[in-house]
Amino acid sequence: MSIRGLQQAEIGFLYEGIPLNDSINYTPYTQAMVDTDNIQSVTVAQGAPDIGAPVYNDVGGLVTVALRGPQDKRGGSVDFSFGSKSLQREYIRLDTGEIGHSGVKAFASFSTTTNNQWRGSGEFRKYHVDSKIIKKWGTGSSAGLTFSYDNWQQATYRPLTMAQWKQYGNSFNYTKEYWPGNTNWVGLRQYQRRSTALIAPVKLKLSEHVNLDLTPAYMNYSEFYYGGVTIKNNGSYFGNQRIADLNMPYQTNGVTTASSINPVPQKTGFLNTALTWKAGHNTFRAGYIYNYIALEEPIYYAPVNYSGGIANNYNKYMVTMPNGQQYRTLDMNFKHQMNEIFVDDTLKLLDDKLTLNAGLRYLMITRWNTNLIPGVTKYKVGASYAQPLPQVSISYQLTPHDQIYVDGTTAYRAPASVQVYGEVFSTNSPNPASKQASLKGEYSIGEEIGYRHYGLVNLAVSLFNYNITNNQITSSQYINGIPLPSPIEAGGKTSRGAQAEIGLRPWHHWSPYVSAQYLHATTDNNIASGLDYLPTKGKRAVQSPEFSAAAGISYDDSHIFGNFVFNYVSSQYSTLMNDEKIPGYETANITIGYRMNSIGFAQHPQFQLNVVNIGAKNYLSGFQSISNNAKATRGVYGTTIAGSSPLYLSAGGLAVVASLSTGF
Amino acid sequence: MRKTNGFLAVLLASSVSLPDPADARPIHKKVPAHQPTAASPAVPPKTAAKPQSQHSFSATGTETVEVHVSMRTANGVTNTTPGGGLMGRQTAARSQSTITRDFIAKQSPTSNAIACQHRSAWSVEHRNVHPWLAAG
Repeated sequence: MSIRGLQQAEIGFLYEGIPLNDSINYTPYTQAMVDTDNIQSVTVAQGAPDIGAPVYNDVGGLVTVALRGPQDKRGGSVDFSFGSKSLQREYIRLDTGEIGHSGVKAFASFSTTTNNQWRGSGEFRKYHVDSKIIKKWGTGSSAGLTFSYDNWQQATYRPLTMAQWKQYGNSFNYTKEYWPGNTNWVGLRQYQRRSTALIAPVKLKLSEHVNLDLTPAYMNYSEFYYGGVTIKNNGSYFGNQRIADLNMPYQTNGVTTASSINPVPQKTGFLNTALTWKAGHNTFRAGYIYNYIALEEPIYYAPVNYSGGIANNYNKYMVTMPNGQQYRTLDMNFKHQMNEIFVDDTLKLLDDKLTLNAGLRYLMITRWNTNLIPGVTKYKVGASYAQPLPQVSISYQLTPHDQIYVDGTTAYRAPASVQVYGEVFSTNSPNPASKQASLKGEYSIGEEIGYRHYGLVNLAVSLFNYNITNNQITSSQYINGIPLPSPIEAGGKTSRGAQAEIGLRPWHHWSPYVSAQYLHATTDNNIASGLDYLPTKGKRAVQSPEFSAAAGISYDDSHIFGNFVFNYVSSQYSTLMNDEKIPGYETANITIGYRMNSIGFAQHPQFQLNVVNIGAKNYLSGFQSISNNAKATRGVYGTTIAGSSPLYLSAGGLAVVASLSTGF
Repeated sequence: MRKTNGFLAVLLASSVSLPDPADARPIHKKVPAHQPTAASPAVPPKTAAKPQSQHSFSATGTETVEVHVSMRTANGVTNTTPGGGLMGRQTAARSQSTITRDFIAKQSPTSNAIACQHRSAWSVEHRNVHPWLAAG
């Protein structure tokens, strides 16, 4: 997803007071953290993030996912879903309710999902556990423990160039059959993720006016990226060292097909503290956040036999070198430490109609990385980032139903992806396939002005303006069959626009909604390419649709319910030179359902049918990689700069999901 | 239910509503007197008479908040959020929007939080779009 032309890896995601983005490449794996059935609400701050949010990538806004926590009454719910592409999903949730008069309540849920991939021949399966126990006491103190576990496995979708899309459309997929040398076999193109999170949010009401929030957390994100390669038995490279004979099994003409395995096991410790002190019309907040990440990331290879049997998916029976050492093309040890402090003051004046807020956040991040592959440019790479981030805002309540506000914010994102620190080698060259480049963090200054009206008709309008320096575009580069994130340094960027939404509170059971956004985002400078520069100054920024809109209508009379939502997104450039783009597209989804009265122990059983992409249109929906230029381009100094094709993600087909659920 | 009331008051304060005769079904809930800013529709607004109690909902100031539970469901849908659940009440001094259970529960249970946000104009999807795999 992207917001206001900023990519999802530039958006902070918060859950139970901690970030749920991947610790280093910042991809938000929301589904791996919490099941949709357990989400109470999702809040998006499109521009100005909360100053106390403990994230270090929120240049593009902040998404806060709120858990539907333990309920007061004992009970639970079950949901069975079936759908197209052999979808099957089962979900069960149990709530203890308040146990005696102890103030303790808890819930736990489990879900399992399997389906075939919507294109190609791969499969998807997922197990997920959510649970939380909480004890409340006094008038505002509580201590909780949230546990989440997710086990996710899927085949990856094959990205395509514009030419491949035009020729093959959605039938350009990884193949179902294996034969020696076929690195595009779907069995070699897999992704696995196991996430475990333990979060202990504690809220202490220290006095009538002072509150202390403390959230220690431990997260273990264990990822495996799989790709397919062919490795030459004689003359492959271990870093810059030529290996005469790898002595591999299952050779065909001196080459063995192998599964390249890239585990990314991130272990993160976290402490988020905030003190809030209310005195009369003034609220003061101060906080301290600490975060430590450890990651040991290798890439190693498992031979594939003649019928497609992979020796092992983890770390056994790998290709080894004549000296007995495991054959690797990446061998990194990465550490990250963050210290952050913030102070923030809110003053309410004029009968609480006027709210003034100012705050300062100071981020300090240190990272180290070592790479054990022989021939790396630097064995050890480290960097420190320190950034003060001020924020101010003013809000005025014109009437109890009308509010205006203006804000000025700053935001920062530490460089994404460990490839900034470590080099990756390919099997067939003594030179690194990805060059280590020390990047600066991305920094933005933004302003917003907005107006809201609440009542039967609700309206929210805002104008925004951002100036971004050291803009980093997350792209990816395939090395040895594995898509590795590789940032593009795009210099300065200016982003301006307007957004508006209007929605009706349910009225005679109907509730319509319309939202629209205009966005004008441009690249501010020419981009270096080799020794020349591409004339990108003034070009439209990538991934920034000029116009997008949504319209929906919802009906719910407590028995019959349904909704319809239509989305339009205008075209988006995929190259900084604006010489390739994905066309605008439309999608629409429908929900229809019936909710019954309670029958015996079954509380409000219901049937729900979701139809997604009702037009069943096929379209390009996003970007696997971004290029500087797709076509050969004359640089500022007159040299010809060769183009490279961006890779796209596609969408399409109609999906139908039927769900039967009941509370008890 | 003692604790639920406090929770509901906070949750439903997010929908400042005018009395609406069309809402035939709602179970109007009389919120106990210790909830300072909540007043049942039958009772005239009392907030003006309570000079010290106006900070309970920090950014809303002196508002009369009518609390009504318009629906009981097993999955948390209350049918109170404007825009079919896409436009939760905001008070912060920044551009912000909230999607509530009223919308989330009506999506396919295999969709995710990000997919739900795509139903607004400012959040553009960039993944292999599939209802149950939008975050992949």
